[in-house]
Amino acid sequence: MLSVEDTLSDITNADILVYASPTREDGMMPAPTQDAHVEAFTLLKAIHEDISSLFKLSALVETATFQDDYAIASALIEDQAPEERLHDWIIIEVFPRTEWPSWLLQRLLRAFQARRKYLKYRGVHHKTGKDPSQQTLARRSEDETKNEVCIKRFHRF
Amino acid sequence: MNLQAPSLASLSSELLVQVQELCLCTDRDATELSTSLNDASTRFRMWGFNIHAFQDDQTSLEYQIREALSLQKGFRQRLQDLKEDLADCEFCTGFHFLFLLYNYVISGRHIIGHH
Repeated sequence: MLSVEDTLSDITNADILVYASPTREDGMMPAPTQDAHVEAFTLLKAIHEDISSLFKLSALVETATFQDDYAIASALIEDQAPEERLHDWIIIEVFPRTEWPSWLLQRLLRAFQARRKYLKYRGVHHKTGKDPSQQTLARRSEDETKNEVCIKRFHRF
Repeated sequence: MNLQAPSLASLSSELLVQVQELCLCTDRDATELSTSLNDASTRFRMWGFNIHAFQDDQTSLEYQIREALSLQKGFRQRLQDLKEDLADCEFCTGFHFLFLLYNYVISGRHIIGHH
């Protein structure tokens, strides 16, 4: 570990000239104001960088809070009964001229199943509203209605 | 979430006031510093209004990221950093005005000396 004496001996005259505060006779501005001037611009740069990082972080908000509607629907809605399910022969009947590979048929069936679940889910939850701003507006209008009722009751007395 | 920590909305609003006050202080002199500070203020306001950071309801930033704890932590950390930088800048701008005053006095003395 370096001692204080070693550190002090390392300081050269050039260092002293750089770090010593200039006097008014030098024709320069006082050191505290000069340093503060430079520091203010450094801090401004830091402030701009902070705001830029806030913008960058905001780009992640949508990704982090994204929820797949189809995944939610498939988790909440039960599978259809076997007799209600779509079968591959229905697809072949609708498009008889097309040669369907079995993997494509399976994939189409899965897609139809997911779509049906999603539509069923939306059918049940259409009143709740997906957009939070719409929910807020709905809540505000409810509050206003309640207030009006309260005012009417108050006027009766 | 730490319940004692200020909400993102209150922290953002506090910072908005802080940056606007700083802009008002520097607006007296149309220097590079005040222009840059005004830019920072505009950018911060744009960020906040765009992402609903100043709101405290179900449309707010805090509500949007209520389940993303790492994001909450990230936003809080950056807002705290900004708060510290603004406080330091506020301190430095005081010295900056001293510098302007000094330049003004020196230039005045220079003119008087020539006459």
